[in-house]
Amino acid sequence: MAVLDDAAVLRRRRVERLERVWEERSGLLGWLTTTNHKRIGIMFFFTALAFFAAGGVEALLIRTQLIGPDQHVLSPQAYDEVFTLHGVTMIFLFVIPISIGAFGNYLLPLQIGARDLAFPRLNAFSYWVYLCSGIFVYVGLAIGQAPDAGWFDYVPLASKQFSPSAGIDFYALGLIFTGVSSTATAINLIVTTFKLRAPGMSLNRMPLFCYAFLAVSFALLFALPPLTVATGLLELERRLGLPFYEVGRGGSALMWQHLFWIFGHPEVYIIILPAFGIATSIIPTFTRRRMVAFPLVAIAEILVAFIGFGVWAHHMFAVGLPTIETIYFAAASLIIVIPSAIQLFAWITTIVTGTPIFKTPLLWIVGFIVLFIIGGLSGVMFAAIPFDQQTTDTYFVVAHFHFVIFGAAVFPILGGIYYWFPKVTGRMYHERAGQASFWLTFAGTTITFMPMHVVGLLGMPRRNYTYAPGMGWTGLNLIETLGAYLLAGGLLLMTANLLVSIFRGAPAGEDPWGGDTLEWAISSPPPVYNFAVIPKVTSAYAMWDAADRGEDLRRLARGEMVLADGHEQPASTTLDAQLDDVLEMPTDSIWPLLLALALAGVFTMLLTGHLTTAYVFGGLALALLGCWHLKEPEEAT
Amino acid sequence: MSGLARRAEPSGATAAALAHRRRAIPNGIWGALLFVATETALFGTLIGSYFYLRFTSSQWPQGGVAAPSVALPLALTAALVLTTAPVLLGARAARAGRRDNAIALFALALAVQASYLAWQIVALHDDLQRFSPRATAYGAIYVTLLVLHHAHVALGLALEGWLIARLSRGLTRYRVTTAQVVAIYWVFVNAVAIAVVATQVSPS
Amino acid sequence: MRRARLGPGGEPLLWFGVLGAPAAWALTHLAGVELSQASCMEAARGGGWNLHFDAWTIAVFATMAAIAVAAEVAAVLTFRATRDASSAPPRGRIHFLAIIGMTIGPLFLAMILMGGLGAVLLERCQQG
Repeated sequence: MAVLDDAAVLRRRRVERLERVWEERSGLLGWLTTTNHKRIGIMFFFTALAFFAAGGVEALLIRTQLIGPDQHVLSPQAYDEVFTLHGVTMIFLFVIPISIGAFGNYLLPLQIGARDLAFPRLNAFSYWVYLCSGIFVYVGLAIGQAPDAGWFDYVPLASKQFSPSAGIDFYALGLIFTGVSSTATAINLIVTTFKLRAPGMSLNRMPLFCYAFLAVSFALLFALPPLTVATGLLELERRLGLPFYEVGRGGSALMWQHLFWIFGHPEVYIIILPAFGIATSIIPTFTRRRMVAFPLVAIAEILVAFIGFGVWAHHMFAVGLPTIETIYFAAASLIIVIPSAIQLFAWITTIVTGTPIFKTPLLWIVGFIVLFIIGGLSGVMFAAIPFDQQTTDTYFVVAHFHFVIFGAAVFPILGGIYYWFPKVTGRMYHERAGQASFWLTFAGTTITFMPMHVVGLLGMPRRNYTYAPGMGWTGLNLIETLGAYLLAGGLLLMTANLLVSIFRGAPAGEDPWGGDTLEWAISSPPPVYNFAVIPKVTSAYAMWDAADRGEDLRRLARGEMVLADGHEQPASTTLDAQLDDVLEMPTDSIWPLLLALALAGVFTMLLTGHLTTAYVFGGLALALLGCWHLKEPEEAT
Repeated sequence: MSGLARRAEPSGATAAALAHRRRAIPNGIWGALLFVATETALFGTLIGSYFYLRFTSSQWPQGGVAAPSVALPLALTAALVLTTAPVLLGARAARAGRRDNAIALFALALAVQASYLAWQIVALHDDLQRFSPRATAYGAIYVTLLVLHHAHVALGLALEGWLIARLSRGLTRYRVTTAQVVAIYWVFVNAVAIAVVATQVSPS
Repeated sequence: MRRARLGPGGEPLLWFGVLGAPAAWALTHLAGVELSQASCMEAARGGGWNLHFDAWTIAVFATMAAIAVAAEVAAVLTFRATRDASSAPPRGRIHFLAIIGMTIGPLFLAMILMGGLGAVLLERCQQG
């Protein structure tokens, strides 16, 4: 008995020391200077939700305008701005930031047994740049100069001659600006995944969630530069008259399409891969069994990202490229279905051969599987060039991508919110209301987007602000709009459920679900330092290894891998996760915020055409970067 | 017993394993490599755009502009590429603890690179007298490619200056990593310089 | 057995088995797109780029297909050599990566063959 008491006392003492070392600054200044991945993840989360609401309002405006023929809810110009902003907001300001910035940031260190990301200050910088870039884009809307050429902004429509207002400049500069945030997060997630895994977590023992985020991060690194080039050249053409896309002076309008889609196609896989990662986290937990074909699912996630770089011209099958050029893209577009199918088979088999518990998170994943199959089937139809040439730019493609983006990317995000809500808040949500919100949203999604296949095949083009009566489209559009309102209702119910549950939900405890990954080993919400003792890992389902988790308690008592001398974090080798080093992590810093503001100054001055002032802000940014690096952690060793 | 071993396992069971120098690539180096990878994709895309525009034109350079001279750009690039040696040696010197050597090597590299940049700016100015980037897509992509490269050189000079300033205050593990990061950045810039100059003189 | 080739230092066979096929496909993709642009775009009609399109296509694609097949063989050999591995690294990790290499080889080979055959059999520079 005395020995046990001693062990408990020792554990308590070590935990208290960690809490003292890792104590966070409170108040507003604490949040402005935080470099903690959980706080930053929460900030990303709420900011992304605000943009989701904005994008949702834009969607409802679109659907209301299309509720019947010849409506005048929105003028043609306003309609163009609304559908452009809807696409830009949902893709760049909601789904990417919530995936990598909220889910990736918060959960990746927890799942690999780490205490933070590899570059905490860079993480803070990512967030502040995201916030500034989102505001930057919406300032355009606020001053009546929103972008209006669609989210892919084709030239020559987007050139100065045909779009003289500043809306396109907000678009182009805004996307470059937000790309800085995503690139920084991608680098951070990769290095974290490579170097900060708990010793013993070799590549074959890494959770599938981490594989998905590794794939996303690499994809971002290589997909964003073409977008930067495309929009950068566009800005140079619009502001300085350099004729990259202007055919009359030797440019090429088609070059925009190539550049945009070299970014744009990987981008849509970037959108969906985190959702795959969330699905592969939820399924084992709620089916009480290991994921079928674990290595195949791991590589499927990376394959989708990799092959996704080779399919871009399937967005251009109707522009007149020679068949000997498009053949490569058709081949890759057909084969890329296979990794997605591998994952689907693995998920479905795991559910069917396991013991499924259909709580809210699993319901969202089952809904995701259904919607992804539908969206995937309509997608592979587009890989057949003749079919694509008939249906491109009709509502058939709108149906396809909403099934895959909303159904297959957002459903797992919503399921993931329910799944990890207990961990982040320490409270349980209301299960019945959760299930109801799923069914409402699923019904709304199906009712909104399924008829779009039909109306597309009946010839309704996308992006038209209205349509004539007697085309055979009226009834279906009405149904779609009603479905959209139902969908919104489901999301509002979910919001209400979670808001109420934050204050009135039952206490969740550490592991309400019996999860298989390490975030369930610690308290809810997690302590600042995540793990009192760096976990011992001997399999890919660390939380289900009771022996290892018991050993962790003994190691905590012994002081082994507690690392409480400073803000300490172990680093491991990349492939086999052998302990390699102990790192001192940075603490609070104001410089990331200030640097983000300086960058905002640069982009704003570029927008307004004050180039000299832009240079001044650029110089300031460099100076702030220097100040940031005056503080050198890692001097402890 | 190293501090590392002591903190990781007070019993010392794995002290021997941890007493060695770290084996894996440090985080900062990984970050630098990934940053260089994304910037390489940026230049790759821009160079690809140059050739795409070239493929779209029956005449290149467009607008009757004379093809660029070969000798000066190649000579300047050769000088720049040669600075890879002092930069790599400087990083190695920093790692070995030879601070003064490291500073001297980086300072030498900086002097040559700054001269390169100055000369290139003059050469670009001369080019702009011959043709305008507004007149043709050739001019536009030519100037954009070169200016982007020169901007990366300028940033490299700033990084090197910062590094020298920090090293002169003493050598720490963080600053050794900084030296290696700066070296990686310069190897990247020099490699890109080869690709850029090859593109620049390709019509000749 | 093949322990020596799978020691923690080198593992070249494993990495060729994992990365060989994707690299081969990436090269064929780039080469294919560039060859078609060089043959069919404006500049080509000016007569500047006199390419033996079919010869180049077959040469590149056949070589890369062979590399993809070789990578598949490498992955299979590594898989068989580590069949007895538990999940413990490095053999567990190597076995895992070998499974990955074996899976992806056929996919990339299929894309190489589909693209190469299509480019040679389809009519040159026909607008699609």
